[in-house]
Amino acid sequence: MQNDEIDSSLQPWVDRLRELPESDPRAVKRVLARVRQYDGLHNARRRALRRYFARQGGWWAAAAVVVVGAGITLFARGAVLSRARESATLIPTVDSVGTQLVTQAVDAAGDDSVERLVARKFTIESLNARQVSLVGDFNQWNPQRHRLHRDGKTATWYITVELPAGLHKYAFIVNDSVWTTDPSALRTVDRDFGVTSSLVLVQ
Amino acid sequence: MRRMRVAVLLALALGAAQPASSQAVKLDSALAAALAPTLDAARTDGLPDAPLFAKAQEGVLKRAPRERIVGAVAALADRMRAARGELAPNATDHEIIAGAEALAVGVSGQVLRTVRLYRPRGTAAMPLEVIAHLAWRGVRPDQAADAITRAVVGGATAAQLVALDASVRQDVESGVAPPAALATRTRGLTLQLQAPANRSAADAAPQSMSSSPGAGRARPRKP
Repeated sequence: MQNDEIDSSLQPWVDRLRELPESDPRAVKRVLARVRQYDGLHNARRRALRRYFARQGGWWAAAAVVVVGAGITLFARGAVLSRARESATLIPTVDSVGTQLVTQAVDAAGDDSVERLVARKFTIESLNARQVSLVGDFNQWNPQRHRLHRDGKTATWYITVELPAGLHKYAFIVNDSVWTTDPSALRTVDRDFGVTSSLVLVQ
Repeated sequence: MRRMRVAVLLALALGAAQPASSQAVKLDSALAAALAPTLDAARTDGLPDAPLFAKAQEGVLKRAPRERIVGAVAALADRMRAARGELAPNATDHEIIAGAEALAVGVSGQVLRTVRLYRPRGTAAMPLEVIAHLAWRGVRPDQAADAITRAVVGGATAAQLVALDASVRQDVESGVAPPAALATRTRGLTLQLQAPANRSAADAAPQSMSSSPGAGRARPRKP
């Protein structure tokens, strides 16, 4: 409603209503003092933080970069591994002799462009063994990496290992000393060192 | 103290960010020193070093003399270098290793080049590994290479090549001579590739699947 539309007799009342209420000047002073105090404190904190980051900034920036880099690296590794796993369809099959093919990765397109991991079970019969290790190019010929487990009721030692698709040489080491080939696998005399190993082709 | 914490954080983060070392087992210092030039040269050439460390560790485990280990690692590096050249321009690490294995059993560089022609990057390893596996089984390397390159030219998949290898294994275990087993099974795979369901793959190089000897390698790369 505009002023000219208001009845002239009501105009004084309207003007009164439009005026700000009277306030206690001491209260106004107190409020303004608190506002200034808060503002000053806030600014002081900001200045202190700014000084702190100026001193520590280099370290924090470096740490942040490294942590982010590590995160990206770990994420990328996980992504590659999951891609490799997703690319394979695992179909359980069992071979009748010796080393058992537990799962076989089947790529519908027959494409081997993505390195696949294929679970493979290795077994060996040894009644007198106290310890049996599996060594091969897939574990850098390291006897500590893959220790076989003994089936309590029999002389069978076994382990299931995920191998990259491809051709692998391997052997068993019984009691940390006796080099033993897999009786169920193709054997090959290594030309480099003159010792027989077993061969497995995984796909 | 705070800086100490940041330093520890940095060290942990750097440790997590570094790729896993390919040297899973430490070699003794004398052997490591003897291998250093070979390994450095391989790294400089961009070859994967994991197979070289594995070969060294294999020698240690087989209690070979140091000189023999050094020689074996150097020979492997040379084969890998040659394989990478034959599988140029962009062989994967797996292909280089497979190519080196094929060269080790006596396959010629020409076979690697032929496989490369018909298998794009990342897909040449399995044919070469099947060739090597057949050669270890007792098939002459040139016969194995001829059979597998024919199959590759005909469009055989990695799964079909592995199935061929498994079939040969079965035949050999039942008393068939390895060369005869491979010849029989290769004929079977050829028929399979020429079947209507696989016509499109076989159409890529129909003349190469003829029965004439050496037809599979009749498409040398033009210089």
